Amino acid sequence: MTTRQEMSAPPMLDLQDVAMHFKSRGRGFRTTTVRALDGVSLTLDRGQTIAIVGESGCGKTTLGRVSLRLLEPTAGRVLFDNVDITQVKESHLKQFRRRAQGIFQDPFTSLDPYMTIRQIVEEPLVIHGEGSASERLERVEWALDEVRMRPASDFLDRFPHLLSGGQRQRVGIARALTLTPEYILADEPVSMIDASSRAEILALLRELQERHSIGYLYITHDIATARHFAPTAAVMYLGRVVEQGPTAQLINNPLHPYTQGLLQAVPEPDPANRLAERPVLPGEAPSPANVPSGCRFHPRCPAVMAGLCDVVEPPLVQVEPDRTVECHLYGEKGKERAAQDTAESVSDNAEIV
Amino acid sequence: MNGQALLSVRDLRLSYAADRGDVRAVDGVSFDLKAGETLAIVGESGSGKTSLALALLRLLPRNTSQFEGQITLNAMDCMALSDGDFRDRVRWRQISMVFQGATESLNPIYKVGHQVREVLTARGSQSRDIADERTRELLDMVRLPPETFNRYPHELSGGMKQRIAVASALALNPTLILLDEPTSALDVGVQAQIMNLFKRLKANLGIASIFISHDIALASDLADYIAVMYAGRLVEIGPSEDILGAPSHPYTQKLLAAIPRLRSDTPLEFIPGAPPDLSDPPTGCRFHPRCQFAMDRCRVEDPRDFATASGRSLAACWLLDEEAS
Repeated sequence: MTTRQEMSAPPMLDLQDVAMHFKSRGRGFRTTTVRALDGVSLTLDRGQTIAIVGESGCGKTTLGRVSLRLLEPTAGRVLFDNVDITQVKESHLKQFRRRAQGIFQDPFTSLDPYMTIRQIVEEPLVIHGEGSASERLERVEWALDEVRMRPASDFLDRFPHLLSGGQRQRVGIARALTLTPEYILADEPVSMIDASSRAEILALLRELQERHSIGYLYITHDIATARHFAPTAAVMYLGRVVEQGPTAQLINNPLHPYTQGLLQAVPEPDPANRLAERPVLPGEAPSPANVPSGCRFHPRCPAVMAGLCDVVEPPLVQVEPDRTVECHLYGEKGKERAAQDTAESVSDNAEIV
Repeated sequence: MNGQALLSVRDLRLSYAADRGDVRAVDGVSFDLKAGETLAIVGESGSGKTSLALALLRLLPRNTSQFEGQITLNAMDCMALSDGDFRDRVRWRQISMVFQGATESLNPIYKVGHQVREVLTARGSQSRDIADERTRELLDMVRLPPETFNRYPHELSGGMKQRIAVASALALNPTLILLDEPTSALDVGVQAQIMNLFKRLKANLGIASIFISHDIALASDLADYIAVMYAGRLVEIGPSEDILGAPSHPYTQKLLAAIPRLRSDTPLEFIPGAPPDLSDPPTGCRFHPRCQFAMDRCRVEDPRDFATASGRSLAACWLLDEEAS
């Protein structure tokens, strides 16, 4: 999460100005462009975790899919160990796919109901032509043991529907683990699991990270779990990263008005919550097919500066060595404007001051 | 919580027949709810929360094998009513519900206004003009613009569809509304908007509610009282201040410790193991196989409800008996 110039070794995963635009049929003969990702850059090192936090439609899942090259981005580069995987031929891609795996949101639909646990966990090995049948079985048992489904022999011949949500997600993790990947995309891995089991799955993922030096791209709508799982986080809104930095700092001192609004909406267990309405951002995020001009957050922003935010795209401001924010409030133009406004309001209210 | 209770539930039981034996989804639940107040029922999935709501509305699945206990609503014995009387007098008129996944249950080929109106014309036997007017009033109540009336479900966002589901539940002026995970499919920002809407309805219309969720943090946004459900039973019930501030039951304590806090680095705890199979629950206290404080007694004897230290809450745990003696 440092800037590229400072870095000695290249990061494991380096997304550079990635864009993903989908063409879709609009009304009549017109086509509309859905700008799911619109210039996203971030890096991830081995054994590290970065959280991508945002609401549905912000592009976080698309970003994850691009990072595994499940989607080919329309622009930008995706470097994995300094190799641009968007340019790699299909035949070489298999090499990458061994090293990068995914865990997905829904443990109920991401496991084939007609396959046994053994078949599910073994499948990546079969696809990659790994080992003999007995070696593969050994590997499957190892992976199930790693995710603490013990003894593995109890689970091998079971079907997913006999397992609880938490156990199913463990099977998904075991499947991702069989090829000992260096990078795992974890796309909302705990959002469909009971609150009481989430902590357990996240603890397991962290344990596996320490043991195998896995880098995680943790995609979530839940900034509270990000706080406990990822040391750094990037907040996304409508296809762009609006703020990035150490997760604890983002939470304790959010800079972008969107991050501030997002945090206010998160309930913490407190009996006083019921006594007052929660301050919320107005409306919902617009569709990425219809991105607002200027700063894409301006129609919902409580700190909007008319004539600036709705016209000019906000600059990327490096506020601290490890923190960036994309907002006029912290840019030169915005500061000038704010100074002007204060001067005016001061002269307006001279007698009060 | 006695005397002027709006809803009083005593020893409610609901079981389903299954191949592996009777599944006792609700197994002796008792509580009271006063008019205008909110009781949250929290617990893991499979603890019987939704079954409890279905029992209150008498929406019983076909394989129901046992349905008994007392449900008293506004001093009326609901269990004495025939199915027909219950449907005509109670369901939706006095108790209505916003179902989990309600946003997906709208009919895609009808305008949403018509779907809200249908509740009024079918159940309220009102003329279409009066029903139209009332529908617009309901849309306004849930803060939807009037033109929403003529929209189709696919034109609405998740939050707007949820508001439609709430409008349908409000249509016949119920005194009690059951909210079953009403925000589970929504983003956190929209979730906060919907919770604000519930707060407003509670303050302005005085509607009592039962809020069902696996998320105790979210429940705190609305709940005056919280009941913690585990394996078909309420293991602890009391004012939110007690349950959130000084929980007595080890299960409640663990449930709270498992929640990631925004501004704390305290490592998260989790409850090892999984909730029991309700067709064959553990003997004694149902939580004992997962409880770090389990004593010999817990393995054999079913704990009864004990008053907690505050005297305002009840917890079904032998530890409280030990403290008393």
